[in-house]
Amino acid sequence: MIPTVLTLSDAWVALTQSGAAVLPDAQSLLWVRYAIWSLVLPAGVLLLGRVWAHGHALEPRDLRRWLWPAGGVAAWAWVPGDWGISYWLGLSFQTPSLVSGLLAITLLVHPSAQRSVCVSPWDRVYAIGAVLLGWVLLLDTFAVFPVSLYSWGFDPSTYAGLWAFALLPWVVSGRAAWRARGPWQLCAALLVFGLARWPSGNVWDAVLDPCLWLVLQALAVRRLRAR
Amino acid sequence: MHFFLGLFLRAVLALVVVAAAWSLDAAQRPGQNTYPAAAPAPQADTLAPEGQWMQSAHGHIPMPPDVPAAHASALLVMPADDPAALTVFWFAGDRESAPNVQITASQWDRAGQTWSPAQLVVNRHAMGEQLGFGLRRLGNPVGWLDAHGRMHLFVVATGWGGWAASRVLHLQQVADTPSSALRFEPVRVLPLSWLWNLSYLVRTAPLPLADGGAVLPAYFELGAKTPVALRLDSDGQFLGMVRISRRTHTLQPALLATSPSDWLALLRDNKEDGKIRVSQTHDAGRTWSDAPDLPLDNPDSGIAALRVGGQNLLVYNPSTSNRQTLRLASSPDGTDWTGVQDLEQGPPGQEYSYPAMAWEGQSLWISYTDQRKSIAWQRLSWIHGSPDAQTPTPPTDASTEAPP
Repeated sequence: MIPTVLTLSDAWVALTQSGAAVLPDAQSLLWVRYAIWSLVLPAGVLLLGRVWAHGHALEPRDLRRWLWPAGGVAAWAWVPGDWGISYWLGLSFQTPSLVSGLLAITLLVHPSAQRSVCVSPWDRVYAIGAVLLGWVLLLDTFAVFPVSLYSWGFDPSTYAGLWAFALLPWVVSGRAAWRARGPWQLCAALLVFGLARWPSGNVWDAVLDPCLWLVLQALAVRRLRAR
Repeated sequence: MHFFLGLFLRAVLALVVVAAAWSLDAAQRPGQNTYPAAAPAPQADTLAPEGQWMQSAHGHIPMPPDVPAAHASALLVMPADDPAALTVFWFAGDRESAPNVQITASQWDRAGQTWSPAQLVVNRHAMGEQLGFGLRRLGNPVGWLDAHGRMHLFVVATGWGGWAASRVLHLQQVADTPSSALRFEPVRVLPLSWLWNLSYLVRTAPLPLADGGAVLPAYFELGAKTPVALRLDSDGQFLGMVRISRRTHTLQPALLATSPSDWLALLRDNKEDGKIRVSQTHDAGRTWSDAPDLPLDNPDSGIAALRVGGQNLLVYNPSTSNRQTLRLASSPDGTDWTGVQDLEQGPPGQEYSYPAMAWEGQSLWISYTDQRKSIAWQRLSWIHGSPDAQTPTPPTDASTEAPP
């Protein structure tokens, strides 16, 4: 019997082919879209308030002023049909990523904190990683690479690789990394994705969406200009 | 020492977590990520080597009342026990990309030998309501029957922007309704791109697979134009995508299975002085490579391909600049093509385009856009024997509506 030999060609094929996709339950997608937009939109309103305050954390008095519109857009996101804002945002942007939703929760829970996104050097690593990943996925969209990297997002290996990335700070820095929010948010997003496959069944869509990518780049540019 | 021990233990724990995540994820998947062979071509032994294609009927498919524009028809062969032999889908409205465009369908009635009146089967407002987000425009429809005989419809639906903002909307027939009812409900928008899932379209017919699934050809067209193959299981569930070509100017792949695992993708060319481009796979779609172009012109126009009885058939516009002629060609191997007959030949400015083909009832059915105003159809039969010995039956016009 001739033993099977894994040739380089076989290895390349195995590496470049994605596993069979498992998509989320179609019935749940509507509610997930409403839920994530109802988190992201009020967080966006509070971010706008922070921009209004020239980048400073919102004082409790200012915060009260911004809470009403934030609550309003959150409620608007749950309005069904073409009276709801999710209907029109979904037309253009589909559903935000789970990480966007979790970042929004962080921002809503700590609306007065000076720093809500990057509280540890590891958070900066994650933000830079997300910006780089976004560029790679954007180039992949335009078929710059010989294989479709987006379709790797359907594969269990990519899912496992992202878990490894999420646990990296803890492996390297131990308890010192517990303060960082990025790894926790990534772990939570991966856990939810592993259970429910939201929002699309592709893990790239769960960890990064183009809107979040643009916001992260804007924050990075602002930070660089502030130096 | 203590630091390294801690690092080692944390790394081992992390590996355990990663392995558990990988296993849990892999366990949710339906099975091995296999690439089933193509289903056998229809009626492989009915076409004797000596013979020719003869038109046996032709006409126009009924349009909805007061609808001036039609484009992009797709043919679907119905199960043998269905009262309808074929269903044809197309989009109709005031013009291409008009807000009132709807997906329209008609069925060829076996008993009456006529097309049924047009039915409007997909409305963007109704679908948007069910999906929970808006659809700005509707475009190309593609139909497919899963292993259980349930009809699936894949429709181009745009977000903000033109066709470059398209997404592929997957619909399926509402359960427990007769096929003649043609009632569809949305399943989801297929996840094909990270960039807000933009710019993927469908146009050409799926390639049926031996396991009851199919390969649905699709393409990306924002800037770069690249074809992809989407795999569906026997229930119509999306399994993944594979890029068909490295070229960035090819679209609308028409798939031909020359053997169960050797397939060709014949591609529309977006370049000036275009040719029909080719990609090939020898492992049932797992990997694709570009092949030499066909010596057939292509005016950046859609094509249709079908394998029947050992013949590979192609309908295309044989020009680099216009769509006024629509030609049927055949090939034994998918490489050397011979023109069989011109299905349409109009004066300059006329357009016969976006063909679709199906094999049903020992006949080849071809539908295509006629002047962007209606959908024309022809039925051709393979007449055995040498051409000189034939006394062809005059074609009959079975249309229920006069051509424009």
